[in-house]
Amino acid sequence: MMALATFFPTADTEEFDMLSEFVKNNADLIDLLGLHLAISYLLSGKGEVRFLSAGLGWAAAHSIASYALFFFVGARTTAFHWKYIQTALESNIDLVFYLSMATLVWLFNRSDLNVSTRRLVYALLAFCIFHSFIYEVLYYKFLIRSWQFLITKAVLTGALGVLTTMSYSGIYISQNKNN
Amino acid sequence: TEEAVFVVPGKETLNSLLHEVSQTSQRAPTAVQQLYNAVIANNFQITSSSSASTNVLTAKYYNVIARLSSYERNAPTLMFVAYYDSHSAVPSLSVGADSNGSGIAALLELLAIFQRFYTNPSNRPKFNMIFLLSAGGKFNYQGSRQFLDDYLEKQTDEHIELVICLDALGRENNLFAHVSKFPPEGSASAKLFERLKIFSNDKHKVDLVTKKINLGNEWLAWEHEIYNIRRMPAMTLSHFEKFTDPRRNSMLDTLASVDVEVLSTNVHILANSVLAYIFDLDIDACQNLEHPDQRCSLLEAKDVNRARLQGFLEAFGGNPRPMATTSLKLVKELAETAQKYSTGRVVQQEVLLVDLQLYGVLEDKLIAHIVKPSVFELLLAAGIGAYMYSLYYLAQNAQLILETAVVRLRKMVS
Repeated sequence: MMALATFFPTADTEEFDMLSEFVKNNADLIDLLGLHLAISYLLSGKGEVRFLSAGLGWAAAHSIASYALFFFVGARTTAFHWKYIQTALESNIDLVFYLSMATLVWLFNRSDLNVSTRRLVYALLAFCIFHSFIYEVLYYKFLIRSWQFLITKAVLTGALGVLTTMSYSGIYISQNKNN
Repeated sequence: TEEAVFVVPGKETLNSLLHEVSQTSQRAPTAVQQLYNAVIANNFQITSSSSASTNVLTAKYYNVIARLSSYERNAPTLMFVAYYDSHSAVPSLSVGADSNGSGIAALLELLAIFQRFYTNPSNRPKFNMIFLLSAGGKFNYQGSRQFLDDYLEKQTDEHIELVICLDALGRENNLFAHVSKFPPEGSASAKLFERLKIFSNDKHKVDLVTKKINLGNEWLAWEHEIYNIRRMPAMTLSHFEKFTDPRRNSMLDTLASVDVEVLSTNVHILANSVLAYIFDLDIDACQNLEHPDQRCSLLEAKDVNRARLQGFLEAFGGNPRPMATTSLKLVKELAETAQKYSTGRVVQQEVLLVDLQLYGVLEDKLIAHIVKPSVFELLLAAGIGAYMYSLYYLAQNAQLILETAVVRLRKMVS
């Protein structure tokens, strides 16, 4: 967040400038770096334990940092609004997302994957980096709002989760597989 | 319990709120829909930001008095009065452009017109003139009452010959001169009325209306009655025939309801009549005009400055002027405007309200919250509970689920 604020001055308009949003998403790389540091150097234990706990912890921290104030200030008012329910579900989706991202970071660093799995991991990591950019494109360009947006996010993150599971378990889409 | 009534300017969001409420408050076509409405439909909770007004307003009220002096000893005085406040069912929305914004504009315009005659010493009339913009007109003419109290207490040599009150001159091609009793022959009122009749015409008539002062009534009918009670000759000029006309205290009395043309004609007639009176012009010739194009007038048509009149009307008659305000902006602006045309200083005389108490809160802010019925909370809790239970079940059996999923996917891929 601080890197974002320092290096990318915000325009005062509400427009969605494709290029600037695209460039801003590179800040998500820092998320990736953080996860990598956490998994490789800050946690100890077997591989799975490390990335699962890193993912869980990161998702929890992200949810609290992003939504705690929002709920505290907004959800206790007299007025009812569906957006609070939507944000709560969104934080659930974020859990799946960060868990998948942690898995992918761990897989990225392993050397015993075959080529197609490795390619799949790279592709999924790219999606992870630019996920907010993709969501904003959907929001502003395709004008998906509210519940449809939430469902779209859920579907995309669910697909991410499934594909991550697949690449983790060594299932790969390959032409010449022997077993 | 007392219920508050709020008057709100129309808004799109208000319409949609009303639409939703009317939909859900009526009986739904089916029982299922009724149940649905009872549990899930939007309710609205409206809160107000200020409490009921039990606070008596402590504010200062002022009359604005401008003079044109003849600088002669023992010169009689003519007085013009117009009250500057407005009132209706909703005070802060009562613009009162005709009643009495037109009166203010007419008075200021008369001041400007007569000032021309007072600048040149050789032209100067042998009359003093007082222009009084009185406060509290809608509350039994508090301003005029205060002026009279102070005036009679001072006991100056000044002799007020006639008081002319202006009360709504902005519409209709008829003018009425209201008096308390029929003016005796040769009196100031009679002479002025004679001249008013001369300067009016068939299209724009002036009529006399006599009405006895009813002291038993809580509210006085017209402003001239205050002066008549203290034995001063006075009349009120108004296009309203009856003092009970509801248009005198209407919220719909905005600038659109004033016809500047009519106002200008009224000012013209009055100015001519007053000039004929103070200069003692021979009116017999005026009464027998030979040629229809001949006119008897000291003023040309352009001497009543339409643009200036319109300016006064818009400046002082275009905004709500409730009495219950602590702002002294209006008084200040009236005084400044009058100062431009008067000789000597314009006086702001403080008015103390008698038999009257004003309460302060005129405006409020309402916030409407969209609220769900309380049963909805239970429904929501049930839904969230079900969701959490499914997550719990997933977590308990995660190992098994993942393994079967991987096996199935493997089978699918190979």
